[in-house]
Amino acid sequence: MPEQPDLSVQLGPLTLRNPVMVASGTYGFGLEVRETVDLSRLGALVTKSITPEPRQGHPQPRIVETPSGILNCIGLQNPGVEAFVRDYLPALRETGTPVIVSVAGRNEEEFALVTREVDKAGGAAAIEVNISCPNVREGGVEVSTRPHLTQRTVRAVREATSLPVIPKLSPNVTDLRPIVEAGLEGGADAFSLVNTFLAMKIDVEARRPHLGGVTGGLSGPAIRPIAVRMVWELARAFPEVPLIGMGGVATAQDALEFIISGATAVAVGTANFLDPRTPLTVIDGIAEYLKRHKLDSVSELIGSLRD
Amino acid sequence: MSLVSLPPFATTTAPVLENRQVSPDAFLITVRAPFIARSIRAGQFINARTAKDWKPILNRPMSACRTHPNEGTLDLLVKEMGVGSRAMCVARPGDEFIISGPLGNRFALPEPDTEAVLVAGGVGVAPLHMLATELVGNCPRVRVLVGAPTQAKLLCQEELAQAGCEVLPVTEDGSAGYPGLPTLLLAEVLAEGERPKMVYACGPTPMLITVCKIVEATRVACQVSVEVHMACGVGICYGCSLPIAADDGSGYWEFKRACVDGPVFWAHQLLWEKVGRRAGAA
Repeated sequence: MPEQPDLSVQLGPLTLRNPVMVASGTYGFGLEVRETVDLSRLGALVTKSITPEPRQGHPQPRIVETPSGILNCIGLQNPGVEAFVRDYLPALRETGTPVIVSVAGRNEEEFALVTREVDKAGGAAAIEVNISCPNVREGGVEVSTRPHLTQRTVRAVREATSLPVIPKLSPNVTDLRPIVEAGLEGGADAFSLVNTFLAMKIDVEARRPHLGGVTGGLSGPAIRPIAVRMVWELARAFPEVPLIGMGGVATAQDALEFIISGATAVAVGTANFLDPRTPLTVIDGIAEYLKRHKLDSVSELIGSLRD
Repeated sequence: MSLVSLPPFATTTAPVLENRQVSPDAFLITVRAPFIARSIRAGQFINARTAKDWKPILNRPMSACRTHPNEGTLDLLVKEMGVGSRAMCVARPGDEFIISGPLGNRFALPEPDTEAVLVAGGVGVAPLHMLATELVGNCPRVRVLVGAPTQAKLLCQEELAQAGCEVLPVTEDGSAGYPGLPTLLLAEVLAEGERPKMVYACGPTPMLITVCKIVEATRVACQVSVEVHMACGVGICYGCSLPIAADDGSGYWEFKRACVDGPVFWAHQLLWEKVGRRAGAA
């Protein structure tokens, strides 16, 4: 057995140094904390979602705690694709880690526009397609809850780039399999799941919603068992499709639940708010687990659930 | 929305050295955190939690009332407001906090020969006390209007007087000092004397909104430390964004994160009417 176990994983066409990423919207652009966190150790960095025009996002309050979780209604605040490509992408190229750019829009044309601009600028390792933000409902519905819309949006992104295309799935559905089928028809290379659960919290003294956007997305440890079940179901239904699992990952143990269920990679999200170094401790914890179990590589664990 | 990279901050285990109750619901807690104690400046904050039994999922942002850089310690003024703060208020010497900092921006120093008028509401007096220690000696006059519901809840009086400030206590029930709200006294204070003045305010959001109205009417320079729901405190979640006007009079505004572009803002840049129904922290 080698000194250090092999943490690298093959996510479709992407080779990652380790299976631990940061989830879109939970790490800004990574550059905010680059003086304190060694970004080059991350398996990948997934950016906040970029839209064609700058978005200011929702009024306050945007975040509220719930039991073992948080609700957020940030509302996709971002500088817009022009400023992103000009001011952020050059610095992102210097981080030494694969940058997966999350793209969003109100319709297929907007998704395609952002993808094209990012593809043209160069520097991104893949495109994550945010079809599942519960806080932006201009269309009245999350794209990711409708197979037909999913297929068309993924196809629009697919035709705008040669980079790997990774739709981010909403858990606010009864059955994810038709959504994945639609995404595959649209040309997806892998899928990330789950985005947040549509939820709300009420201030009973004021008799008002706690959030400025009324409803928001639930994340954190509370959702992990549901997310793990969803990854497990999809991995069984689509054994050849690479999956990035997320939902309440705060420790290596949490990450391993997803990997053993069938995820090739995982993302840390809410836990970054407690400590942005969390992904690094998860990486170290996975290495320790492999040594303890005398395993050579983390990829042996992918989908290794014993039934 | 410009790219902001934070200067290096520490996340450190900070042993509790002392915990004194200073009012019915506030505690002055001294912790050891050498890097933060050496580098924190007035206006900046820390994100904190207890090391054990931390049921809430998020850190709590708070300001240090005082730093002792040579000893490597910080004095935190913590008001019991909910689950998180309660866990900190019952800490005993030997317990540990985990704190990240220093975070955020600092108060700007006034122009030469300018009097400083500090307006403190409740536990908002904490960062203003640290500011006062920076201003006294560099400012011809430092007055601090300290507001509280009642005499027992006035905070930091002796410390401010010892620092060399003129302390003007204001209580809502009139049990000590001036009766009413510190903002009522502010207009009077600003009208006195010939020297230019600069106002610094920290306290509940309704108080800050009133301060901003007063300084706009009297055209006095003013900085405000805002209170807003925060999650990460380090600029990655975009949870604490507030609408901030550009400084160039163009009318342009955008949402800026209070944890990286604030929590100190110039009063004239805060667009309170765009903030949202409930701007303050829980």
